[in-house]
Amino acid sequence: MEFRDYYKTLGVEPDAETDEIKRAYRKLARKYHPDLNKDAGSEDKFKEIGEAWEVLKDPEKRKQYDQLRAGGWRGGDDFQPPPGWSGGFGQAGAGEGFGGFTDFSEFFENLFGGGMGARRSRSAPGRDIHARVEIDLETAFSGGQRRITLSRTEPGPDGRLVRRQQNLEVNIPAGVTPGQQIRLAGQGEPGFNGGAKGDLYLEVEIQPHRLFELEGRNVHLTLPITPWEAALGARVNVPTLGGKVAMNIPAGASSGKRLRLKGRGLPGKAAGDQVVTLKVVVPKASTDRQRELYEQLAEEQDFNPRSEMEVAA
Amino acid sequence: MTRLTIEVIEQETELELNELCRVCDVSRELLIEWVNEGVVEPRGQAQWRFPARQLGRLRRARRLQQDLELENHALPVVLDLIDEVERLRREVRVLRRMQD
Repeated sequence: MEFRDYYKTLGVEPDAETDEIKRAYRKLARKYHPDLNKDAGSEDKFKEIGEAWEVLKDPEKRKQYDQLRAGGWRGGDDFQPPPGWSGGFGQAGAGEGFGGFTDFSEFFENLFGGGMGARRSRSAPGRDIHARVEIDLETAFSGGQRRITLSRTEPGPDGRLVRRQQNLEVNIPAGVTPGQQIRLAGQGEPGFNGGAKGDLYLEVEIQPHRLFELEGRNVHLTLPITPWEAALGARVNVPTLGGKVAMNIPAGASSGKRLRLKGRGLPGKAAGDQVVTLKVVVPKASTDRQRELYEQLAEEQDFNPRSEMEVAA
Repeated sequence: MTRLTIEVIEQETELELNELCRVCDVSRELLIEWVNEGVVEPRGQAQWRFPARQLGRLRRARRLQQDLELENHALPVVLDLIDEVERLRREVRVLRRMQD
């Protein structure tokens, strides 16, 4: 496993005071928090920052980490815990410490996550797990299978917490929207002494789409059309999530005009619409004949789009 | 592979306080505080009921509070601004598609 340089992650010197580290963490956390930053990779970056802060804010953890660093380990080194490493300060299981992006590195789990599982004499239900599931817009529209990988920390045979990857096939129903919660009963953490298992909650997130923009259950599409389709009206095929649909363009339509395809958005009790915004694309006059036709049109049309601007044509 | 029981919490559903605490992983005391601060708006007087479409907002509030240590009274402002930024970003993407 890779040795992580937590100081470098936060951009601070190894002798920095906790307050300084905190300022550095806060600044980076604001920058990369996945609720604030939708760029690809921001979530991974945020996890790294969070993990670094989790260690460096805690004097005990920091001391342990500094001891390792003093032993010569540097970021990126292939790291093995030294023999007799006791590890195990407190517990860092899924769902603790972070609001929803908890997924510490193997390095972290090995150093600090190896404590004894909480021992309880009384029966208690297992904790719920909260995770997010990212799907594409097509899956949100028609439903489908999605494989998710959960990283769980569970007590092993010797009582130490071990990390285990679990794959789940989840049937995503048609018509889910961003922020919606899916509950998987009994897929949370195991209970203690016969207590019921917790549940797993998945929060739906939808990836950006090549053509469509989602707004609630409505789907937006920009549709390129020709000047003659705009002027004369036409019947054209329009892509929708459910396949192509024929749509009438009214005569005299301009760029920016919005047309609505009822019920062609995401399905649901009240299905969304597809909102089509027209975009007139003007072809170049590349032959003599085409130039001639444009010139003819210019002569025929008494049209000045700048008439409101009080400038001469 | 184990057969999973899947339940989608429909947007139209209304949840009671205790249910909401569990789904959002937030304590009862904190949730009451959040209602008072306007993070979330319940329906009903004697017994609060919460529309499930607020769940995304509440989960986000919890993440932001845990990760950035935001004060309760700052949460509604931040959440509203994020909504506004998301709306504007979508609008910009739609307009960009008009130009390309």
